[in-house]
Amino acid sequence: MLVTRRQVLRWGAAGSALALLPGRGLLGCGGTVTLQHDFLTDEEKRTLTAVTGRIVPTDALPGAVEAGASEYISRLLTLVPTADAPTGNVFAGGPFSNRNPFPDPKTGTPSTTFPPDDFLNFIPLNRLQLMSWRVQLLGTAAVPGSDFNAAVLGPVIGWRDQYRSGLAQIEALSQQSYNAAFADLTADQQDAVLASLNQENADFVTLITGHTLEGMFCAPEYGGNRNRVGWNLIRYDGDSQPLGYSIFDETTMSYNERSDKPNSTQNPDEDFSGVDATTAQFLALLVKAANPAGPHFPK
Amino acid sequence: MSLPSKVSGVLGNTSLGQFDVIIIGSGAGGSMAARTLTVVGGKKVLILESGPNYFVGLDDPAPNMPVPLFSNDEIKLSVRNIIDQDPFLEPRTYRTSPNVDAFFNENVNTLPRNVGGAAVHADMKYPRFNVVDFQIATQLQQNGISYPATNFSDWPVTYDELEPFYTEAERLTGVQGKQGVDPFESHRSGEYLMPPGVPMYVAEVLSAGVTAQGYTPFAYPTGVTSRPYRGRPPCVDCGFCSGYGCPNNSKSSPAVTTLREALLTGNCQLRQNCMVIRLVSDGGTHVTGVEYVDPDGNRQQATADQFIVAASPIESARLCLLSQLGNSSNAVGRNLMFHFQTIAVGIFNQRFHGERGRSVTHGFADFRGVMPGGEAIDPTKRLGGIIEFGTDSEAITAAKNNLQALAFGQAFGVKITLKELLINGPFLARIGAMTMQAEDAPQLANQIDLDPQLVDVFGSPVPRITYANSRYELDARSFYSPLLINILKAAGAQYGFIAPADSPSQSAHVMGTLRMGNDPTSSVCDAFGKFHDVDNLYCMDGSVFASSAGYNPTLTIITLALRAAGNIVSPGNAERVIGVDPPN
Repeated sequence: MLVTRRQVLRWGAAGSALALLPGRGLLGCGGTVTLQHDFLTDEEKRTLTAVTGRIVPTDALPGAVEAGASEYISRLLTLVPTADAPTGNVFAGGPFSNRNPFPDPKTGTPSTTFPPDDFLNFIPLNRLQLMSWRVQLLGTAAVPGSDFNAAVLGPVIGWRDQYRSGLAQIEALSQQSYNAAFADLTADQQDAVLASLNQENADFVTLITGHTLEGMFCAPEYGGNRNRVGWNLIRYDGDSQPLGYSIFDETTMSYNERSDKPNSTQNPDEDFSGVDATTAQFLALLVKAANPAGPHFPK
Repeated sequence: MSLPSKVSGVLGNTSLGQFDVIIIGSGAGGSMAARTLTVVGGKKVLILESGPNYFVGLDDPAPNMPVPLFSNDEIKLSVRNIIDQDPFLEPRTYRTSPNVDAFFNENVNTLPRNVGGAAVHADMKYPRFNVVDFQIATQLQQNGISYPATNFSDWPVTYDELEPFYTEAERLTGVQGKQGVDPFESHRSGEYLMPPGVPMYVAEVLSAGVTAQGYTPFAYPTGVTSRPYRGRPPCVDCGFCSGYGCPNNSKSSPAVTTLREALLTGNCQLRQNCMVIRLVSDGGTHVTGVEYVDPDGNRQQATADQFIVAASPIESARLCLLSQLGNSSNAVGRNLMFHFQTIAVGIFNQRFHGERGRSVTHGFADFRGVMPGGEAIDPTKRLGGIIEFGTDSEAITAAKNNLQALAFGQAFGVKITLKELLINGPFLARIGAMTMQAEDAPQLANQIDLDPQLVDVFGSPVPRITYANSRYELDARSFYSPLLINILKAAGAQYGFIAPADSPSQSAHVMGTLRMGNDPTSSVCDAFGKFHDVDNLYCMDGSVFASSAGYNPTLTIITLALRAAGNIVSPGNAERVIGVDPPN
């Protein structure tokens, strides 16, 4: 194993600290150590980052590039759990991150004490979880004893191989159509290449799209959602423990809610304006088609 | 109290080597059985659990233990499914009838594999069943209601017999609620021990619509603390409840209630990551031991005087089939039931911030189809189920759900992007939904048997599920769907539709397969979960249900397990186990 768990812990801290500095390129955030040992090459990461940037593009608001979705994917592919280091980057620890304070039951208000970030202590996998995750990342061919249903279900191709060949396919399509690297194409050209990819390899498009969304909205300890860019984009609170939203007051034996983030009532800034016009048009279509035989509205 | 020195991977009294009872599975039923047998009965108990333990210090008597490894982490719990059964290691197959081939299916209501069982991921909605549910066959007959292919049976136990055990199960686990707010609730001998916690915003909005339509919303009885309770803190409404283990032990899951009490007696040992693959018997009438695969992959055996299967209905029935036990009735694996969910989806102008609050705080029971008090069928209605109010709380899952909708919209020429959907949030923040947990009629043809092709990682044939809905639950769906839509309109939704039904329904409420009954030719177990065919084998999970009722099943699972284990401790006088606590 080239990368130790201690390194992962350092990246977590370094990644979030460095991301605050202006002028840092996305891929430079992890430092040279991570780049040396990452499964993906610099070229592959450049392509990957550009692809994520078309799945959730950057406009007036940030997108997958600012969230660091490609770093989430890169870390997932690099940190394959082994019998000697059985955590990988699979299951972050618990119960708390350091993003929220403890409640103070004496006053029924938030305290000023924050827990340590337990999420950084990734959880070791048991023997069978290890087999399953190694299959997921490396494929059945690389994992002894994992072919017990291969004769019926076929072999599992690991994510590493899927990314290596999928990213190469994107580069090939890009060179073929535009004689340039995917990352250097215009947005429209990139979209055209991805549309071609969807014709040839829809499974990879599904995989990379799903992973990009995971990298946008995951807990930042997994390497994505840098500075909570993803959560802020969709106005999502993320994790709230140990404070939560209902703070118990032991003197009154009742709950207090938080005025900034109420549980039982609308947000303080709620304007009831609903979705925008395009989304409204889309939803009107969807409710009719989702279940044509079932009742729905608007008609 | 000090416990003997630790053995890696083993919880409780690690020095025990001789056991009175072996329990297979540490979920809701198995944990209640273990607690009753050890705390009250003083029996020596071995629990074999197929999954790992994520409650660090579960058997440490220090206060503030255990420390859960669960967290508000969607990747860990929902995307990568740390506690769910792994479809690669343990696949299942599914078909809708014996006339078609079964295919690999990633999720035929698989349930979590970990110490504490499926209740770890539940958000612990804990309603009781009604009086009528235990006499459902008689009531249907008296009302002239019959549907082809259904196989209803009365239970061999009545609500009145169970009521004291319901009350004790609520006390031991910790259930919040308010007596009398649900007009359809059957009689109770006392008030809930904790009041309802803080309602979710979406529940307030949907409740207004329900009230406007003439129905009665109420605070859902829930196995979550709203006060300090038996050493556990009040819930903080963190928002990651259904599908998530609890980060602060306020969820009254078996691990931190009944199982922990059992482990602290010194009479109980739990071996985690141990998969039981066979019950060994003398001619099929007496179990002599179990064969299991240990954490390192080696075959082991263990013996005891009595044995309890509590591995959840599909797995408990599979174990009986693999062991060729208990099946003189040919009923093992049959009458498999999943609550049939009808989901009415509303999209609102406001954001419901579903990541705040428990997953469900309110619901209503008018669509169960019984008379107030729950003692008779309402012949003017259909037998549906309780309705839960919810919204979406998972950013990643909701974002992925956009993709299917997006492909559809683009096919119709709507120029909308994924990012626009993410920011507008119609499928995350603005969803207000109602889920009906409708009764699923028992059918002989709905069953689990052994798949002829696929095996699990232990080399055993996997469960093959054959399942299709009957007119019984489909009629209820048709009857209540327009009424649900009316409620959404009354609540102020801008858009509303009935989500297409899953095949099979993904309720994760799994029941039947080892039905209890008085007739050994048509049932597998008796009223105390004892197998008719086997003199020292019991079932104490949802397998024994004779029907599925229209209410979340877990409280009834643990109530039956309490009574069944009570009958082992005190034969003929199971009520003696009620009210007994461990010495301080």
